[in-house]
Amino acid sequence: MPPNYLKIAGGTVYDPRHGVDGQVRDLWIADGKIVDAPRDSKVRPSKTIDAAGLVVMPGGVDMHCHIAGPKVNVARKMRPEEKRVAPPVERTATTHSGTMGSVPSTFATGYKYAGMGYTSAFDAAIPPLAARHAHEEFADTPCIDKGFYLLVGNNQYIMRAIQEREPARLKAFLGWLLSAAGGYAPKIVNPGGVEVWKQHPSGNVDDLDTRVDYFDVTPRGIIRGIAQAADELKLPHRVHIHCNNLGLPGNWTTTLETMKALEGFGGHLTHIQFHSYGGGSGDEDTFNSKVVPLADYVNAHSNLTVDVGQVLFGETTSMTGDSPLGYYLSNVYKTKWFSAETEMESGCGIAPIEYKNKNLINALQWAIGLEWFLLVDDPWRVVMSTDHPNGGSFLAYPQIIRLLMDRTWRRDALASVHPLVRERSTLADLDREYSLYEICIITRAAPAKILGLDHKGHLGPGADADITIYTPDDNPQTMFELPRFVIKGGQVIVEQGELRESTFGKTLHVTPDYDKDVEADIAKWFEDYYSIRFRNYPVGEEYLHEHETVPCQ
Amino acid sequence: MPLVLRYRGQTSIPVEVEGFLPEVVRGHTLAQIERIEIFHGNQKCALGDFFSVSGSADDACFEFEGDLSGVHWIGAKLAAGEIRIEGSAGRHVGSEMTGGTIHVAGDVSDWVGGEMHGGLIHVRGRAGHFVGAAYRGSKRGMTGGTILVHGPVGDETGHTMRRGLIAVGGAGDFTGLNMIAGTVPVFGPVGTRTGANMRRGTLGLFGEAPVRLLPTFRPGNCDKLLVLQLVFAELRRLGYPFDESLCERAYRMHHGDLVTGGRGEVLVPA
Amino acid sequence: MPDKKPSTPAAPSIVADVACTGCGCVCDDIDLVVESGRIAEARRACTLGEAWFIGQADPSPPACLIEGQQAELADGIDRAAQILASARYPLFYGLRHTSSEAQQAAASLADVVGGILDTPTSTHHGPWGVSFQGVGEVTSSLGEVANRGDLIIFWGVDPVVSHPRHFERYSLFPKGMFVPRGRQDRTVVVVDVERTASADEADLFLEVPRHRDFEALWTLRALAADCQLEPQQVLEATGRPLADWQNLMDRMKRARFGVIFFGTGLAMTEGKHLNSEALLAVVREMNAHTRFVAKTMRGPGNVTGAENVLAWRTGFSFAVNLARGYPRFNPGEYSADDVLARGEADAAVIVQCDVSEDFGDQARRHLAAIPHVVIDHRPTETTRAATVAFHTATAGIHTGGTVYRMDDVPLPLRPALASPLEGDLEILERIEMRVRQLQSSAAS
Repeated sequence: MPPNYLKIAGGTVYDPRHGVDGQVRDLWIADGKIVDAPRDSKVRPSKTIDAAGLVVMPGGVDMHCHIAGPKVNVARKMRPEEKRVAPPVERTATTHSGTMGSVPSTFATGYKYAGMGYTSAFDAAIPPLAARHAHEEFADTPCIDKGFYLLVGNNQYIMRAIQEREPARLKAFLGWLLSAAGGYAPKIVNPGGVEVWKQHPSGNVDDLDTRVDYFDVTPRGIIRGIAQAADELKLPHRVHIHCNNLGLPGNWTTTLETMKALEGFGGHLTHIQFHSYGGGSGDEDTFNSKVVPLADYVNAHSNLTVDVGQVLFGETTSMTGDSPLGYYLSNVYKTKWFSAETEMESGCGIAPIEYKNKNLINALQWAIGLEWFLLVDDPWRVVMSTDHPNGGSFLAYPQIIRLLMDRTWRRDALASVHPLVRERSTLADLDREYSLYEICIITRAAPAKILGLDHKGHLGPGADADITIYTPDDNPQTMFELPRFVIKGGQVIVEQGELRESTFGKTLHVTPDYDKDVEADIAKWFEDYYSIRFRNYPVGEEYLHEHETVPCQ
Repeated sequence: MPLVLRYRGQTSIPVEVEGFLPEVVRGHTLAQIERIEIFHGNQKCALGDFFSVSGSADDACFEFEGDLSGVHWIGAKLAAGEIRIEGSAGRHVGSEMTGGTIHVAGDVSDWVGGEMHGGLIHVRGRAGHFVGAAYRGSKRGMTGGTILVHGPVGDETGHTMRRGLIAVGGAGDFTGLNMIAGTVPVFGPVGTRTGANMRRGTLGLFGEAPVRLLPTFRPGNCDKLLVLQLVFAELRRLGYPFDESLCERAYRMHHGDLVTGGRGEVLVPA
Repeated sequence: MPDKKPSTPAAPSIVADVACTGCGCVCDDIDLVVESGRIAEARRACTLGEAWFIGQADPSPPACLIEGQQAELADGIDRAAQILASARYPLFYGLRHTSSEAQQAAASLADVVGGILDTPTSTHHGPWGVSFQGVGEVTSSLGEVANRGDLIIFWGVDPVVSHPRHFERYSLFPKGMFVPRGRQDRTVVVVDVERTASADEADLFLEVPRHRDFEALWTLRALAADCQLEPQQVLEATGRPLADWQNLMDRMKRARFGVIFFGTGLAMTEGKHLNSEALLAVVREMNAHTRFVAKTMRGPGNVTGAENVLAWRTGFSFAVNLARGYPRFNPGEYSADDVLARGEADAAVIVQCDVSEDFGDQARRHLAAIPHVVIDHRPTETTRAATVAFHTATAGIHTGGTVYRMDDVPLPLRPALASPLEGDLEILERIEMRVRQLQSSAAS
């Protein structure tokens, strides 16, 4: 029996992975995948979407956001004031109700991503001890496929393995941890700095060579060690790095050193905007952009990729696994502050924040993000993100797209922010405009490739049929805010912004091969230091629901 | 001519009239007004199901009649016009209002004038907790306007207040909690922990009973205070009843709360 | 949801590493000895744990009662759905002794019918929830306390009675990474209104008069900031001399990693949420001097899980009103006890919770006067009085799922016994399915 075909007919297709740049094509879909057109020309699809005059792209892939797990949930609990005034998400016969604000509830998160044409999203910072919680939230986050990165940059077992010069043990542990937690990739957040914070008042590391007490390791050693282990495990997304000294004037040298510390191993530097600041250490008066030298380095080193962490003006919530940063921000903004340390593993900081266009620092942050998009030559190595909700909501992506595609509009925006931005960044000199093809790369093709997702971010046979169809508009923001159709796994879930069907969405995770002998040592480690039993740590398959193991290769 | 709304509801389930405001229905016919959607618990109903409507909506003036203590959000977000409530009213009366006037002949429940920005609320009876207070988690409570309550009120009056005037006939605990600025005279007994965490602003405690403040308040000078004369004059102008002999008294100023800088003032008759 | 119900073996068997929900400690190292379909022994369990595991009644009550009469489950489901489909202000309360999976099902049902959704957070720890929204919180997982804590303060809580293994597992005795000698490396302080069993274990006991917690904490806050206080004012306000508080503050500043555990003795006394707000503010400000964290001590069951489930599904962790078709939040206004006491609710669903401990007289009287559904794993006065009662299998004994420890650490439940009764998850899902049928037939 022939499969039930869905045909998307006559759309203007963008598929950068296959070099398709706005050509009119048909797409055939069966069993949730994109397939070759049937050889027998008499075969008729059971449903056809007439896409003539419409733009067809793969579904969007958000490779860095905060949408699930303990930190996100605490932020929801802590900020009823913004939920009270945000437009509500009302219950319908097929959907659950929810709340927005900078940290939407789970159902709302799924609906809003899908409504914007994004079909996959990755939470960037889950403490492994709370992995079970993150999976529970994923099960309540419909419409999109999702995965998460595990916080490992201050893991004491890892620091001990580095201290004792046992890379094989580190590699085995990392493999075990990713498998046990159902995680997707290792995430390094302020390596060593969070452990120093736990040990000392207002503690943090100063640079890549500060020694971490008790473990006698350095941030450089942690980065190098984990990058090597990830490489040897052949993880689809090697290592995702939030550098030390986020947000501090003069931190660009730390960022450059971090790039060097990878020593050629593959690594992704995330929300790079927050790590590209010049100026005297701690001196906000000399604050300026250092994107040019950093982007030069990235352009010259193909082992590196970045996502931007674009800042948008307005109120939002800062949430991070970087506890000292949370403390710093809550003191800067004089707001409520949440901080939580997770034993043996990680920290967490949450504070409400506001970016103001007339504030020099905030305006520079905005400009620095845009510089990154415009100064990295190869769009396959720079990815759209707001570090949702840290720089702003994921719902701001269409606005960023317009800033990149329309330099006149960008100049107008620049004119409305603090005037010194023109002197302290190169944004005013940048004329580059993104094409639709390039937008397609930085919002879906590139993140899918960087994540090692062979079946996403493109429209070739074998790809997941996650497809977004847009109505072209002179204003790209309008175009990207309101997709004509969103197709998830071959099912039309959104029409003209209205949710038609609430699908479940898969959990994506990895199960690397590792040396099982390590488990006895880990069990002993649990016995000595953890407050839960070793056997109760791994997340059972029942928590993964619909899921897919992405191969390590 | 006001729009007269006689409440006929016989329900213990909350009736919510959020969004039903004089300027919204100005020029509407009575039939149109009767069809306005309100909430009865989880059901959308027509205003006419619960209210007999008469008079006219042309003058941006509402007159509510009956016992409205189970009707909530009356006058919330009011920007202009006048609302007169002849009996008692429920929760959130005049919350977030930016202008206009609300008069209540009876009592109101909690959250009257919550996060109010401007206008006047004048309650002849008593009020519940959170008069002019910040909603949960907010960084600011009342930012402007005037709330007058003749009778006593509950706890956390003026929570995180930024500006404005709240005059009450007595108050519960934590009056002026987290206050950033503004003025709160209390013409009757006050509970404990008055002014806790206040950064600036003025509390006047004019009750008979001696007042015990937190140890983070430090007694200062004793004087006849000009600032109070201005407050008394304003209250007199607004028709708020109080003991005129207070105008002649001297007051001791207590400075606090020391844990947050100590620039607030609590005035107590010397 | 997760683990399958095991068939009951004849020979004694051991189910290892079982998580106990007898109190908020959720010790996950219990070995259950199962003999002839019963739990014969709960190794390592404390008295509360033994009562939980061994004191379980036989799962023999009728699965369903309608107005006190034994009924078919399907009839009970239908009656419950009829009540909810016609209710205009239905209240959902409880979710204490159950898995987070069943809590999700309850939240889903409350959303579908437009109800009020509340949990014991409101009646026992609501003050913490509100104060945390004011100032935030600096906290940690319990293992951090075990590994680092060198000054342990208990305020308004008597763990020897309420959390018997807290000292052993988390706070006093563990030999941790930075406190290798365990108890010897720690200073322990108890602050309470009277000498408690826990006070006997402490290095320092500070007795504070009833209802003076706020003043005491406020004094500490001032001392943390080096404010000069008037000794007489402090004595009058706190009932203790300033020197005592200065001494405590000196210890707090000297600590490397200090902790304050606080309980309902603080949060439910006069001042309520502002007492905990004061405590959270003190702890926050201590971080200018050293490392300091706070942790509220939760009671039995999975109240922490309910908070998390409600937060991720609605954005709010308790006192949620879904009547308008979307979530709103306002403790006091939408708290179960208040909603009942004011006579507002016209129907109720009580899930796995003994409300006699949670509600005042007025609320209980109103509950008795409205149609209400009770879902519980054991027959109680509440189930007997219910319009429809369902007796279910017990989460953590007969059914699996997830429980959240007081520090938000999620743990799997390992069922040791089989039960002929349905789980609450299934009951709630069946009610929702029936409600949806009723709704769609009413709409068409």
